[in-house]
Amino acid sequence: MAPSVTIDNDSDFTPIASFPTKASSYNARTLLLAPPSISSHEESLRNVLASHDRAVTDLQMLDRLSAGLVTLPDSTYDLILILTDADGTRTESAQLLGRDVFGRMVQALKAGGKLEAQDGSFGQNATEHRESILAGLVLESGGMVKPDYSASEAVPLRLRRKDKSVVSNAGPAVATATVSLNGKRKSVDMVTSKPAGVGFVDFSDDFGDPMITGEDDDDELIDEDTLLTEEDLNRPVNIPPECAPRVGKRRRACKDCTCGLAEKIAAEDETTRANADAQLQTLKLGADDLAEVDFTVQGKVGSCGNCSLGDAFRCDGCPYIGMPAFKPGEEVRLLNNDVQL
Amino acid sequence: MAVDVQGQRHNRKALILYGSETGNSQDVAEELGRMAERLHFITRVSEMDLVEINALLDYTVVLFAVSTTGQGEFPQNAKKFWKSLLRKRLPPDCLSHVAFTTFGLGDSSYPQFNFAARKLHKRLEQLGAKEVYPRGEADEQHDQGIDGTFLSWSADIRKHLLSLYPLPDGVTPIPQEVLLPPKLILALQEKVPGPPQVSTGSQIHQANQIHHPAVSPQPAINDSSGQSPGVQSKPETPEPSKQAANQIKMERTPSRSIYDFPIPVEEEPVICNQLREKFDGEPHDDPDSTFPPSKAIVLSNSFNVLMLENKRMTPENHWQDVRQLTFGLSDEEAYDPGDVINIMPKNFPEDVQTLIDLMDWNKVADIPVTFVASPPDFYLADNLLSKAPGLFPTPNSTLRDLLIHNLDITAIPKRYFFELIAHNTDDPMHKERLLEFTNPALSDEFYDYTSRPRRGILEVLQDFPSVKLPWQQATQFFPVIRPRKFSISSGGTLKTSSTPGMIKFQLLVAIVKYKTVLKKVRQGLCSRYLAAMPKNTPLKVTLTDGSLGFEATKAYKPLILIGPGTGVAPCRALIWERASEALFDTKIATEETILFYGGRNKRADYFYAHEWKFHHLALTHVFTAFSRDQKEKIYVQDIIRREKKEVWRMIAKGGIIVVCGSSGKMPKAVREAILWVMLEEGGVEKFPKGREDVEAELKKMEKRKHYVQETW
Repeated sequence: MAPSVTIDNDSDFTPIASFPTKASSYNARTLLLAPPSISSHEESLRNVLASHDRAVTDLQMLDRLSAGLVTLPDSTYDLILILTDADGTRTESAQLLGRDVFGRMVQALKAGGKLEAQDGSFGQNATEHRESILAGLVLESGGMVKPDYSASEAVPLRLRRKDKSVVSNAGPAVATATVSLNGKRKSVDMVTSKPAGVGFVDFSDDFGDPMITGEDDDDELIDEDTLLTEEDLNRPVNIPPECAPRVGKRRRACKDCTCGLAEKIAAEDETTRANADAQLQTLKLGADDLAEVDFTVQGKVGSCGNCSLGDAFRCDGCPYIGMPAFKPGEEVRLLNNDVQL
Repeated sequence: MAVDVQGQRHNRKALILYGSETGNSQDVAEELGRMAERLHFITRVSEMDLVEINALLDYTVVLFAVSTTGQGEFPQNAKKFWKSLLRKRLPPDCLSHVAFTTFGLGDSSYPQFNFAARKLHKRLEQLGAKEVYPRGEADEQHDQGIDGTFLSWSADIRKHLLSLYPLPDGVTPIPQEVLLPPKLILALQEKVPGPPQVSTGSQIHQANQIHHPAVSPQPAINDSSGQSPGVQSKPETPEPSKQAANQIKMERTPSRSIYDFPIPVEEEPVICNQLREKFDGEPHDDPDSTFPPSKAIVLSNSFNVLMLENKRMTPENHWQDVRQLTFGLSDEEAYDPGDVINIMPKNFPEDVQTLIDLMDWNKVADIPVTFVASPPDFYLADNLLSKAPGLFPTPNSTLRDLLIHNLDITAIPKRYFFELIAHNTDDPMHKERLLEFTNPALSDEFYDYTSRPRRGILEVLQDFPSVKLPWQQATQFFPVIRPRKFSISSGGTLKTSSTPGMIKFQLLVAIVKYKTVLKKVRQGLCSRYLAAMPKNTPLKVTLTDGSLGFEATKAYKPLILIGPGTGVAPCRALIWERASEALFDTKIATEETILFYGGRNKRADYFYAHEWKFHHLALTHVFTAFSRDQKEKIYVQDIIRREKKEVWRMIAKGGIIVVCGSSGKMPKAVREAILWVMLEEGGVEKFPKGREDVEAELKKMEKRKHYVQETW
């Protein structure tokens, strides 16, 4: 079903398009996980990198992954390689490989992908072996492999059960919940006890935990990009009829306007400002001049008589537009184009 | 769900949750909150991250107001909640007793229009919650912006809520003309301040720490006026991962260099000990200075920095003023390229005095205040908030302090502000006009008076001098000052300083200053603050981790940088950071780096042109586009297409693409240009299905952090 493809393996060029229907070796992607000690031994890092094709190799720090500071893309890597510590052992990396890290690595592995250590020792100590199995991997020569289940992905077991029982009068109990466990769907009985006459939902496992704890990092999250289907995306925006742009109402410019409307509006404002300034000059309120605004004198007033009341009341052609409100008879000083009252 | 209030059973509880980046969703949520209150719901309005999912079950109805930000993402204060909602192990009907709906705020010029709200709505339904009213979507591109949709949607949902949850006989909604009781109240401290009066709880101790305080609980109200004691607000949640992050950073970023570099070394102060000393109280301010005092707000995870240099980068006669600011900080801190510094600007004392004079607050302005929650029987105790969210007072804060350090008195007012101040004037003409501004039918006038000329709250109050606001409600009238974000523009050896114990960081800041129809020139709050900042000013900032990904900083990967305008800042940080790796090992050669830079005029805004020539920075090529230097506009995306062979060569080598700068049209155009190049050069061989395959490849690159966007 996948089209046949000729890949040009010229050394200058590495194919980057990948075809998800086949796990082809020439599109293999590798993730290197480096323990922090390597970062101060750039030489060791260089040596490892030299043996991998940069175009298809990604590098992450194991401690950052462990701390939850990086997210790995799902089902991307054919090989995840745990690099040896700077001192040649795997003590450092072993300490950082917690259950949650296993979960993340497995999720990032493609089906059929392999998890190995640089020195070939992966899975050989009891802890690593157990954690790998719990994370859904199977042992193969030299490393652990993610089996190719056509059903759901491997999921780390959550064996914690808090003893709190949170009672909420929220309605009938949820009798069962489904939990995905190593490819099989399993029903878990959610109801532990039932006070007479009142149904409740037992959230002891999920909601007993405070929302924000380190444990949240352990939880697997659904892929939010799957929430919006084609239909959702194409659904027209709900515009209540009252909101449709009305004829006659003034248009406003967008934030990063490219059609020129923003410039047009700004130019209008500039003209208004310039005209008002010109009128103010003729009223002898130029910069550095002190002048008393006497409204009994002909010509010192705009047409509506509201000049002193502030922009909220001024009419369109007002020479005092853009200035604060003031009292008639009050000195209006303009010093360096800044109004002083 | 039934609750006892004033001895009566009360079944009407509404929860309004918001996810807001710039405050718009918060405003919407607060408006919905007031609407619910008027319908006699016991209402709680909160940001999403402060609420646990199971809390949703306690309310009659839950309304969400959510913005979509960045590339279809949730705002910062909703991310934890959202992540929690995505947990696989949540049973499919865990929310089956939740009645809800959502209102999304977005911008249809983005492809991921309102994605956050849509995803939220979908997920809630997946978990069994019941939509009680059709969801609403607002679009910035609409004629009237967000209001265009919100006003009628909220009017409709109000009717609907009334019919779904009818009021008991004889009870009617609180009319619009009646002001709702205030919730955030200040009171003067009765006691004379002796040894530091703890008006804000344990936060004094925090000010002494410049290391990362793990937990900063919100203050216990030290209530001296006899109100009910033990009123606590929710503790701020600790961030354990941030500590880990900083520790890791410190291991990875060496701050000393054995190499000599042609970086001009400025004379640096020996006041570095200021960075380590406790930083509350009155630092060495010049009493004659008009610049805001340096008293520090109390903010968790913040650290002290010292402003060392404030250098203008554009020519004096150029209309745009762009500064390079250099700051010193303790070498116990660390940062990476792509990290963002958050600066809380302050108001200028003379403006604050103008306001105090206008409102006749002089008698109380300099007495320490405390925060009082409104009567506890109106809300449930655990919902009480004594301070507005995002308000971080200085120790022993007075009203004046709040106005200088915390409250944005020059912000552009919202409609609700006019409603509030209309109730605080005796002048019938003023009152009438103020109420007209609140009328949605007259929205053009409101827009023309406020947004269009960018008129601030203080200016509005000066226009309506009859308005006298009660100082006790100051925190209700003025929005809280929000931090401004700046991408760090330094890295590698630029961090080094000749002062022991100190490292440096730099920011590239475009000062916001422009004219509208108002006589007084408009200045951005933070712009004004930074532009006027004298040398050696201490300030408190916080750091947000960037999202450039780990590999972009590593010298072994080829890098394509696209950073027009101030977007060049994180690009420069990356360039210097990568170059510094080669310093420590002569065998390391930095992989190729190319930079696409765009500006308006080569002579005016070609920042760092001289640096790109430094041999050790290993910049293979710098391609520029100056849009106004010739008749037709040329932008970076045009140059990318022109250099298709070079771009493709780098991509094929596994190169990482980093795009930085202003959000909106630029990143879209750049992505389109990259897509075009890949299609052109990759052809049918690499992309048999053409555009579809390239899109898929780009998405994969984005997931792997091989195509990264840092835009603002």
